[in-house]
Amino acid sequence: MKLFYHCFGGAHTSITCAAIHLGFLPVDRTPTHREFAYVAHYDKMENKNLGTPVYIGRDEFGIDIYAIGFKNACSMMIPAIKSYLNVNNIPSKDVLFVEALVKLHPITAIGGIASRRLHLVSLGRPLTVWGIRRSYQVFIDLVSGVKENLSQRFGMS
Amino acid sequence: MKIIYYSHSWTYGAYAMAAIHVGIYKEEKLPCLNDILRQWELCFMYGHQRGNLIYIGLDESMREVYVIGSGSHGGMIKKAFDSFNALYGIEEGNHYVDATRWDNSVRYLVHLTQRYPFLDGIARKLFTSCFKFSYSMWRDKVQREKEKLSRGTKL
Repeated sequence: MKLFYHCFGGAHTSITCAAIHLGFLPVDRTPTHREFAYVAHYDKMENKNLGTPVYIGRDEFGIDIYAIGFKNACSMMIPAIKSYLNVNNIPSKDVLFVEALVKLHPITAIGGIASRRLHLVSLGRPLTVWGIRRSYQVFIDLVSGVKENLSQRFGMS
Repeated sequence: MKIIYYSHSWTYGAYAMAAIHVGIYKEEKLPCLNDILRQWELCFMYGHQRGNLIYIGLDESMREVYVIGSGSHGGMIKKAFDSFNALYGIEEGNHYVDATRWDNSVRYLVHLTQRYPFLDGIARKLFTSCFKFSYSMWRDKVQREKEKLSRGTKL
C-alpha cells in the first residue's frame, strides 16, 4: 500500500506531514528551524515536477509514504490517478491520498511563493518554516488521525 | 500502449479525435447531423467533468484509446500517469494527444447555453458549424499521431 500526502506545491505541508508520519519530525513538541533544514525534500519541489510523487520513506505498517503537489486541482487529479490505476488493474484500496493542505498563516503562502516561484529561497524558506511551526499542532493532529485509521485498518493497537 | 486524448473537457476535440481514431467517426466523411448533435448533448451534459479516464475503444492495432478532461492541468496529468507507471511497475507506456486548442469556443458556447437556455437553437447551429470546420483538422491530427505510433517514435 502507498500513502500520498498531497498539497498545493508538494514542498511544505505535505513534506511536513510525511516527515511527522515517519518520525523525522517530533510529535511531542514544535521542531526548531534547524530541524526543518534536515528534513529531506522540504522546500525543494520544482513547479515543473508537480504531479510527480516524491518517496519519503516506509512507516511501521509497511506503507510507503510519498508527498505530491497537485496545485489547486486535487479534486481532478485524484480521480484521474485512481481511474488510471483502475484501468491498469491496480485496486484503488492500495492507494491512499491524504490532503495536507491545512489552514496556515498567509505568511506561509507568501514564503512558499517567494521560495518556489520567485526563487528567493533565503527569504521564502524561513517564512514557510515560521508559518508551519506556528500551526504545527494541526499537522500533528492530522497525522495522528491518519495513523489511528491505519492502525484500525491493520488491526494494530 | 494506451492512447490518451486529453483536453480541458473531454467531450469535444478529445472525444471527436478519439472517435476518429477508433473508427466511430469515419475518416473520409463527416458524421451525420444526428451524431454531431449527440456530441453537443455530450458537451452540454458532461462538459464540466474532469479527471475521469474514459475508455473509447480499440484501434486497428488493438491499442486502447481513452479520453480525459484535464482542465488546464494536462501536463500534470501526464507527469502523474508516467510516474505512477514507474511506481506500480506498469510497463505499458502511454501516448498522449493534446486536444486543448479546440475547446475554448465550445466551452463558452456551453456555458452561455446553460445560463440562457433560449439560446439552445443558435448554439446547436454554431456547434455544428464549429464541428464541421474542425473535423478535417482533427482527422489530420489523428493521421499524424497514427503515423508517429506506427513509426514507433518516442512520444
